[in-house]
Amino acid sequence: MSIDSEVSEATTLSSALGFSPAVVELGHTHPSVRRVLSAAGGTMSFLVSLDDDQITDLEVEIGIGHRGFEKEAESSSWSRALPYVGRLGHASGLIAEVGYCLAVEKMAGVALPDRAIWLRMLASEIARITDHFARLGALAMSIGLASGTSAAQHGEQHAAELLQLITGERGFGGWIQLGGVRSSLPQDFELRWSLAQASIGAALGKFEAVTLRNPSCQKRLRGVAPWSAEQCLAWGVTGPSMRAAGMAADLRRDKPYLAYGSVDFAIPTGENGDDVDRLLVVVREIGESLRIADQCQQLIASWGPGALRSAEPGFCERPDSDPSDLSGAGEADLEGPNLPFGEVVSSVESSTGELGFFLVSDGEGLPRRIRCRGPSFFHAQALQPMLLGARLDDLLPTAALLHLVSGECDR
Amino acid sequence: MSKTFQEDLRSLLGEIGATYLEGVTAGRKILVGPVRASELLSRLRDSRETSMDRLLDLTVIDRGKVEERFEIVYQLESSRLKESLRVHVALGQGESATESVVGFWPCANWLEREAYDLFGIQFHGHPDLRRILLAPDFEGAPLRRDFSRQSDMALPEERVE
Repeated sequence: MSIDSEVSEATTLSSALGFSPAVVELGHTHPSVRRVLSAAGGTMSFLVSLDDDQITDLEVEIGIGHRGFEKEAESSSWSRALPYVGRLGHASGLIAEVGYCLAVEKMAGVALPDRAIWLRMLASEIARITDHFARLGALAMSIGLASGTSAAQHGEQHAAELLQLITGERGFGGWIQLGGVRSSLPQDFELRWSLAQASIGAALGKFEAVTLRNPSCQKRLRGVAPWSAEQCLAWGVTGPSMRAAGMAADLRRDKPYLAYGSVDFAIPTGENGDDVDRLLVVVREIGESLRIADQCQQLIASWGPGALRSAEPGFCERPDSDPSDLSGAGEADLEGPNLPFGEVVSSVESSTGELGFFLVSDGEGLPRRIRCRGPSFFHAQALQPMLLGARLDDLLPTAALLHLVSGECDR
Repeated sequence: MSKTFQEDLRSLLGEIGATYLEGVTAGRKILVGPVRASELLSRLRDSRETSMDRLLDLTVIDRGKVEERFEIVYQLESSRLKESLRVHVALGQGESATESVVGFWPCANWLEREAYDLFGIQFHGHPDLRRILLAPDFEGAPLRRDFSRQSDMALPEERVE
């Protein structure tokens, strides 16, 4: 007697065998475990209701990584909030610092020297490359493509070393300052950049060969968690995941900040908003970031030394600092700046999506409100509608590609 | 902001009785009282002249005053018209509740939960209003200005092993 004669209608294996639906918990882990469960952002927990291996419901629990960023940042001066901003992500913490500083500078009406603008762009794009590779490594790990993970890790290493060369840190902040940046590029940067560019390109090529040009990987990810542009708008999904759904929207082009209006770059998009398209967009964006960074690097190399911080009196320097000190290493004014009464919104294109800061000032020197709009918060919320009906195996790859960063989600 | 958008917006605001402010850093800001806030938000979303299909952010400002202490701030954007604006709903004296906008923008679900969690704002009509970042048994609304950072929330003795 075969099973066919006992089972009269199409059903799942578990119900045919009499198993009841299960609820499985995935999570939590520490954010440092970045390539395992942290494909899912590390500090999120998933309660997955399963019928066989199909997801019938999903509850995403966030908040374990909540550190009281907004409360802490609001408790003292605007400049003392900056170190906390740098911890809103791994390498994307640097992009968050750019967003915060731009908001404060906008409120103060302070202009940046050219070097600061282009150095911030250069560092932001290298931070984006670092983050994108981390996401790709997690993606490859989640579908069992170890050679993809190792290629992505190589790419991430080279990019992180570049960041360390420029900023002194592998993306943990302290180099972006209110009014500018802390230091200029080292003497041998041009050479180091061309070497790193080649290595990153090679790592990316290897990664592509293992994933995008690998029919098994294509088949594995094709049609997983498709997500339309309308759904992106309704659920606040931004960044590469939105572009994967076909919307060619990017803050660097639509609401250009720094000097993004002056550089050449393309905006890769997908069609179906499924995992393959999300993967494609992230891979292509690494190439575009290399292009932007190269243009920044060439322009900066053509200039000699010069001011790295705004010369606006009372904005970032202590009153007794030496104004002719071009290195920008003057003493930071930790008690300031004294911002006028008002409110400002400043958004930047982070590696995950639209990262926004909403600042409210009473004009009394201390913040009334510092609000961080973290794109990962919205992506974590969107996971539930995105994954209903998908398989349990699809959860980690999709979460990896959405790039859930607990720093900006839990804050 | 295009001229036609500005005119359409002003006429809509005039009907509702909301105030419009525009500043160099403040951007486009709309002030509205709690009574007609829901109506304003739904019309901003649904009317063809504004088409605010995106809720970019929802948060709260504790102004620290007795009257109109809490301001709910909605950041809206139109993907079609490429315009954005902020709506500030000032809650009345002693008020800490407002209508949920989950029905207008699905992503408001978690945003309102966070405002409830950290500011203690109630959102009528929210399908699942509970804490989202803090532990379920946490007491208080920590982002309120009168909640001290040196927290009142030390572990109670009986929970220390």
